[in-house]
Amino acid sequence: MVTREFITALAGNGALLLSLVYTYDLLNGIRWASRTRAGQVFTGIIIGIMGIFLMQMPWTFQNGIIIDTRSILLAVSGLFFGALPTAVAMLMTAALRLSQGGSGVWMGVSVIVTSGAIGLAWHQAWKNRLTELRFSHLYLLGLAVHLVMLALTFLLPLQTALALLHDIALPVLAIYPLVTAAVGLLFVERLQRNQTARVLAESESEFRALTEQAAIGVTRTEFATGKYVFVNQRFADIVGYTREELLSMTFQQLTHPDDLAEDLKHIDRLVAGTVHEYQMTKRYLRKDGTVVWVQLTVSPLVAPGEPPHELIGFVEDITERQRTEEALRESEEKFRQVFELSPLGRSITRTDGSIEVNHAFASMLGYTREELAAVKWRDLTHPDDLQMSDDLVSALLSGTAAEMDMEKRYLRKDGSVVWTEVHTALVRDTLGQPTFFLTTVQDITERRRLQEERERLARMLEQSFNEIYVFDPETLTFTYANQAALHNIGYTMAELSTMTPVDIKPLLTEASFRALVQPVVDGSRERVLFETVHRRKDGTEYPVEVAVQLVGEGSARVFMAVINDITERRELQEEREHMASFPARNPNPVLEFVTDGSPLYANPAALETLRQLGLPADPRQFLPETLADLALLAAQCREGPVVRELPLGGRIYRKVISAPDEKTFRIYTIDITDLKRAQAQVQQLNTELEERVRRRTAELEAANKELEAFSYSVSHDLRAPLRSIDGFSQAAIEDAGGILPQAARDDLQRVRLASQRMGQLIDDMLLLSRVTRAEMHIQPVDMTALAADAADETMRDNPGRAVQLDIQPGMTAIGDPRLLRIVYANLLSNAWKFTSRHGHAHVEVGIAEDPARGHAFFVRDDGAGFDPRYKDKLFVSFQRLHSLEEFPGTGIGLATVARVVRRHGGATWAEGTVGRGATFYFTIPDLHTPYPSKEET
Amino acid sequence: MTKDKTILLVEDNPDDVELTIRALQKNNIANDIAVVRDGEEALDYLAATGKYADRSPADLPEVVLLDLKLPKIGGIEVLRAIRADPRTKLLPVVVLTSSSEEPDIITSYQLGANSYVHKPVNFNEFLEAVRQLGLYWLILNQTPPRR
Repeated sequence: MVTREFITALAGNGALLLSLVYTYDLLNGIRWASRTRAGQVFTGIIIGIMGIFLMQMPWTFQNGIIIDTRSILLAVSGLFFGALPTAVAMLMTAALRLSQGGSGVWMGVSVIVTSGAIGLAWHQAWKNRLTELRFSHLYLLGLAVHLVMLALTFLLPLQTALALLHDIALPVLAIYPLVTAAVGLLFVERLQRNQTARVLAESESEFRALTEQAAIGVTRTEFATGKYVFVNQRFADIVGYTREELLSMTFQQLTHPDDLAEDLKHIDRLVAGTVHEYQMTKRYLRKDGTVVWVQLTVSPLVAPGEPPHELIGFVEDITERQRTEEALRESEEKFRQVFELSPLGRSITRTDGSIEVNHAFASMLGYTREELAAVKWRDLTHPDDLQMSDDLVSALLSGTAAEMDMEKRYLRKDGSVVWTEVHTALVRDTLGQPTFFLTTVQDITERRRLQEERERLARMLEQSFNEIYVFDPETLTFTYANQAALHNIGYTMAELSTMTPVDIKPLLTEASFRALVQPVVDGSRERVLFETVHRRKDGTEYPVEVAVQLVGEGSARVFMAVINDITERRELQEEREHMASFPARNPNPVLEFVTDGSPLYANPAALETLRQLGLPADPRQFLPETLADLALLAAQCREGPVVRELPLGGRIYRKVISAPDEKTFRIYTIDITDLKRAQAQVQQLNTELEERVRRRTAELEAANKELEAFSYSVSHDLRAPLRSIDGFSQAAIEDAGGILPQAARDDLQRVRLASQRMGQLIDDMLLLSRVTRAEMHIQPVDMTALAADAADETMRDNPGRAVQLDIQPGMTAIGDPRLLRIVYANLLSNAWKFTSRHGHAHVEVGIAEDPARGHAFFVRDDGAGFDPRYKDKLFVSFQRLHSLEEFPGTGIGLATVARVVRRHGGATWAEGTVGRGATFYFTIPDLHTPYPSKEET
Repeated sequence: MTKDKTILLVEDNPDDVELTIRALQKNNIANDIAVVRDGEEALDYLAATGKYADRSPADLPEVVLLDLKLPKIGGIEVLRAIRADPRTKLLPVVVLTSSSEEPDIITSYQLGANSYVHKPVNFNEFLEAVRQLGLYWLILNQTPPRR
């Protein structure tokens, strides 16, 4: 029923739909058709015409109801051609349908509109991904379009619609979406193909652009033959051929013969697969015969899974670079040579302080270059110059200076010092960063030594105590005067520079001065020496010795005058003359002889003496010694002056002979005749005197013996009667006591007392005499013990007395202990006696410091004291300051004390006031010569 | 008290003899006192020679009180003679003198004087000295045994 017609119509529609695909192909080749609005309208018209054709081969269901494949056409058009062409096609097909009329006209128009719209909707959804559409997507499109189409059948009267649906629904839904998808797939495939082609074309054009515009040469060569299949313009420029010429050439032809072998070897390795590309520096022979250096990079052009059939090469012209490098190398070599071969020391100092030095530098410091490789510059620098060097380095680094000079010291390997002049520049890289210091070092030790020598000479000249003047040989004006000169002459250098030597030499005129120095000028004398007078600025004058000479060469010749102030010399001369007048005017003979005895000098007095004595006027008279004597005399004189007596013409002279040097004797004489005579008399008198002394001594000794005998007999004989007087008075009292009246007994008692007192006097006088005569035994004495011993005795003699006694411990002296004990015994006995009226007495024994006499032993009491007016009488024999009734005593005790102390070389004195006690002092010098007893008596 | 013992007093001054005897008696020393006037007599007495030839040489005094200052032979010489004679070598000798000269004292002791008594002017002091002498020599001291 439907089927034959329907399938026939469908086949025709299918063919048309396929033609649509080819239309697309066709139109796609025409650029403007897809890119311009007019093109798109044209495309739409073509599609519209195809739609019209489609509609000419319909399956007519019944009159006015036409079924065809315009829905597929428009849907696919909408999806693949876009809005404008599809709209044009829709307008054309819709117009046709309207013109056909019929009952299905509205349905037909609606199908046209909805099919195109759904296609466009799909287009909108997949716009940029059309090549990615799959069968399913396209099938869905077809399904959607045709479900809508079937739905639109209800625009027909219901009976018709149902009948139609009954007829076509199944075939339409079975076939139309499939056809839609199939046609769509064809489009997708076309689209995909087109895209690949476009990418390829773009890639091709990019490659071309790249290779054409590249700054490096690009080649493709046939692997098997080495023929160029492609070269770019740059490569052609590099080798100087045209591109056309090159395409008939091989790389082997172009390559420099010397580099070909290496190139081929690289290619072998490519083939072997050991490398994937290689690089080499090689030369091409240009068309004009010149050589060009290139850097070549080659890699095989391979398709996956195939052996390489082409090589692609990248060629860089490095002739310029090569030349630059060559120049750099040359420059470096030059620099190296300049550095190495320089006779000046050079060093490159890196910023880390390490150094690289040349031979001259190393040898200057006595090192090998290897030794210095490990050394930093600071280690070589003299410690005192480190600061300066550091300052220089920081100045260079900070950029305040590009290069600097200084003088510094280096230390040699042996420790010695080298003075150098150093020039250092800081070398920076292109970025301005410091790279190294370039230092040039010159050994200036010798220069410096010369300079110092020169300065030293100049200083010597300047500081010379001699006045030194330099003046012009023509004008005679002064050009220089040293310190000493300025100081003495009183002018400043500025003043002197307008003056000439004549101005300061009042005794000379210019003519006479020029005459004086003429011998120097004409060369007959090296220098002239003369004496004259200088006048200072203040007008004073002084005698000078002037030495003038010419110094220097040619036009630089100047006069130099060295001035000696001879004031002192003049004074010395005068003094010498003055001194010389002393022997000349000496009234005693003064002579000088050579040691062999020949006379050198004899003063007038010597000759006058000879004349007066009537002797020949030969000075040898004063030196009558024989030659042997003279030798002996010379030897003696070396020890000091020799004094001899010289009888001459009846008189006697004493001569003092001295030898001021090895060759001369000097003799000073004096007439000692009278002295001799007087001496002889004195001698005689002395002899007589000694005799007299001896006699007197004997007499004295005899007298002394007598005295001792006297004392002895006094002690015995004088006391015996007293004893009788006392004893028998007592006996009388005892025997006749009963019959004697009281007055007589009292008288007898007085007799006894008087005799006892006389006995005491005798004892004391004997003691005094013994003290004087006794021989002294000097030894260290414990004075404290002596005092204590004497005090014990005193206490025994005076029992019942309450006396507080203080004795200073540790008192010592040098003396005779026996005699010193007498001193303490007397003084303590006195103290006891004169404190007897006190109920409680205080006696003190000690040492006091006396400002005038030093250590003074003392005994102090607080007894009756004495009137200080009489203190000088205390130590005199038999002198008493108290009556016997007051205090008994003989007046000899203190005299004895004084005598003992005097024999020890000491002194005695006393202090006291009446009723206030007394203090008795004595001193015992530590070392002394005891007074001889004889003088004492 | 041993009354049978004699004290030999060698003293030229009769006053001193008197006073010494007096002093001895005052001290209740009742021994016989033989008095000789000089050194020669003293030696004669002790040796029983010359004027004393009738004496027994064995009869030595208990003690000799010897003055130093004597006519003819001095006390020192007497002392030396006494000490030189083995018979009288151990005889107690008290030097009794007014001399206070130290050399005398030293010499006396060196020659073997048993004691030295200084005769004071004051008789009372002399009494005291004698008293002590008597007590010591005649009572306390044992005389050396006779041969």
